[in-house]
Amino acid sequence: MPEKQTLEIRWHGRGGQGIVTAAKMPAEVIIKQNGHALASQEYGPERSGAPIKCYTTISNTEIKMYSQPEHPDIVIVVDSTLLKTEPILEGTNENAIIIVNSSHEPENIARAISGGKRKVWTVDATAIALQELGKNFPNTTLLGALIRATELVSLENILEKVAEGLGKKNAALLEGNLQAVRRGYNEARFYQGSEDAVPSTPAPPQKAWYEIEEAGTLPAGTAKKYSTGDWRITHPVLNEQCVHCMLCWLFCPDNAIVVKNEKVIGFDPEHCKGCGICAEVCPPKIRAIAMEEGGEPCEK
Amino acid sequence: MRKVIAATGNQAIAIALRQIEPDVMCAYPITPSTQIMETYAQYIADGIVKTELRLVESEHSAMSACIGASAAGARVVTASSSQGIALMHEILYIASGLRLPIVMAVANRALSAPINIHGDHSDTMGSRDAGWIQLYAKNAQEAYDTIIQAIRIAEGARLPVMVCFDGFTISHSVQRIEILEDAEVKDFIGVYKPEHSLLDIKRSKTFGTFALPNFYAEIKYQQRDAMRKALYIIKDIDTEFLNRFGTSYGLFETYMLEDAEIATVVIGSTAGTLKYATDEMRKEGIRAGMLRIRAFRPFPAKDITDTLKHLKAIMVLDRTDSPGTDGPLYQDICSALIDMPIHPSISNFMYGLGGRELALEKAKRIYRDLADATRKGIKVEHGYDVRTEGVGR
Repeated sequence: MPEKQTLEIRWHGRGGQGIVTAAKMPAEVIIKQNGHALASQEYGPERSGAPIKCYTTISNTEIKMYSQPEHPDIVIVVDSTLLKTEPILEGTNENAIIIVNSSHEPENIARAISGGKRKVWTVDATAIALQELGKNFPNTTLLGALIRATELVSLENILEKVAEGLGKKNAALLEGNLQAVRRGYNEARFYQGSEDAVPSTPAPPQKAWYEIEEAGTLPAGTAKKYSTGDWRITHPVLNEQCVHCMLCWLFCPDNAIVVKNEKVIGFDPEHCKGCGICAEVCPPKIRAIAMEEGGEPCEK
Repeated sequence: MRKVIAATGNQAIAIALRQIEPDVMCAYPITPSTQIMETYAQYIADGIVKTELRLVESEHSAMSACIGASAAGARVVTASSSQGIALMHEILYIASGLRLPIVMAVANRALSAPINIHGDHSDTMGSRDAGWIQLYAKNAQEAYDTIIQAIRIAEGARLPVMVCFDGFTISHSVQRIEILEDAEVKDFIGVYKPEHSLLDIKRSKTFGTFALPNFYAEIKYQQRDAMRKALYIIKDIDTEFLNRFGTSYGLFETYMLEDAEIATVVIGSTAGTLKYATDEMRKEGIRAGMLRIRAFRPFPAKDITDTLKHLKAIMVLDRTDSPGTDGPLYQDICSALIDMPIHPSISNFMYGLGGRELALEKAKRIYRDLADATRKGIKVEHGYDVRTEGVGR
């Protein structure tokens, strides 16, 4: 346990990656050990793949503050695509520890987010999850990396908690998850940060109340400019069985089925959220669309 | 030119609406405001007006339909009372949040339970925080003039307006009213040109957007700012009305207040009775006065402070209870005067619930109690017009 009385963790992830569960687990372990902890979430349009935040606060005295931590000691980035779109360093100082799910070396991530200034841990949690669980649920691996980076609780205790939490729900996945926590603990890599690095640029200011359109009305058609493509954690793949029945085009909630000359030719990578509705409505005898793990390779 | 007619408050509103001739009207009938829509529906049936009347299955739907029509760019009017206002409660916030200039005539009525059809202010006081401008008229004449002004106020402030008057007392009693000529009203209200509308397809807009914690407060603050500016809009339009038609009402009305020591503060038709009581008190050598609130939202706190600060004691009359605390008007008057280094003693009296009359004797007793306490240098206790002595069993 660090000397500081209160430790605050902020989790950045996407809907469907299990980060709410990940944020709760250390809190539950601490409370079970008669300590003080709080886990909370930011609620919004949490459709699968939407950027979300969770918080875990751990303290050696009673926690009386229920507002979201402003200056977290630790930031965990469950999905590395969020490094580009979310203000992950917001409210943190140079001593904060940034833990990122990435196959890259921590030094490279530190350079990308802070010019090399910040303390960064990386662990390839997606790869580990795919190997151990067969699915992209990187939360348990990152939990292992968090324990390694902070020594908040012992590895044994968190393994017990994972067993307790998953044992009832999904016994088949239990051993894979336990292995994921162990591998996250063992395979996490650290970069100390460099004093003479260039500091990161502050977040741009937001509009004042008198600069926002009255009643929050917006010009029509702006959803097109709002890229939701990076919400994907799975992506559709089209095969040659397609008979161009247009059911996917009809049901796609984001107009992301690309049609040319009355034929389905692919998916709009800017707007496809990877919800899988197209694969679901594709007629069973045809099965021209399959959902595959991973968000990036969505072909047009 | 004004023409004298005899009409009930509801008929006066219906006549004003005929002269306004809104594009759309959506309503569901409820006592005591039914007559407004009933009369207007007759105008439509007779081909006198071209308004599109939408009869819906509830007040919740009535206000929803008003919002749709208003967002589409129409001039929209409705009427309701009591349970109707309560049922449309959640939709009231959407009308104001979307900044739609809907005008609603409200014949004020008590809320159930127990069921009661008579006048009190529980219905509109229940929605005082809904972001609607609330103007309360003392009689049918003022209700008539105010609903004409309300069209301009709503469109100027881009906020919805309730024009309230006491159910039955005003809505159903035949009174002498001076109406304007149709052309005068049409000229005064002008043609409605919304800044944005759903049917303005060249500059199309999305209404009803989603706002998370990072934007919601900013958009709510815009409403607060619009409400503050509405004070000036109400005053300006009232002045224009005065210049054209010779009648003015202001944000509030005062009676014998300049040299008064004690005063009542009230909303609605009871002001008439209190004027009589004030006259009687003056005959007895008691320096009494009265202030009647017309604009309750926005609340003209600063002007009220300047008007009441010289008094020794004030009795604020609330025609709605707020169980567990004091009346809403009392709270606002206290809040307006709290910053004065020395402020009058302020007390609260709940009256007129479920249509209970506050006649002259009762009104005089309020003034006498106020005068006695002031003479003794004590604060008069809060009152409640309720039987405290029973049959003695």
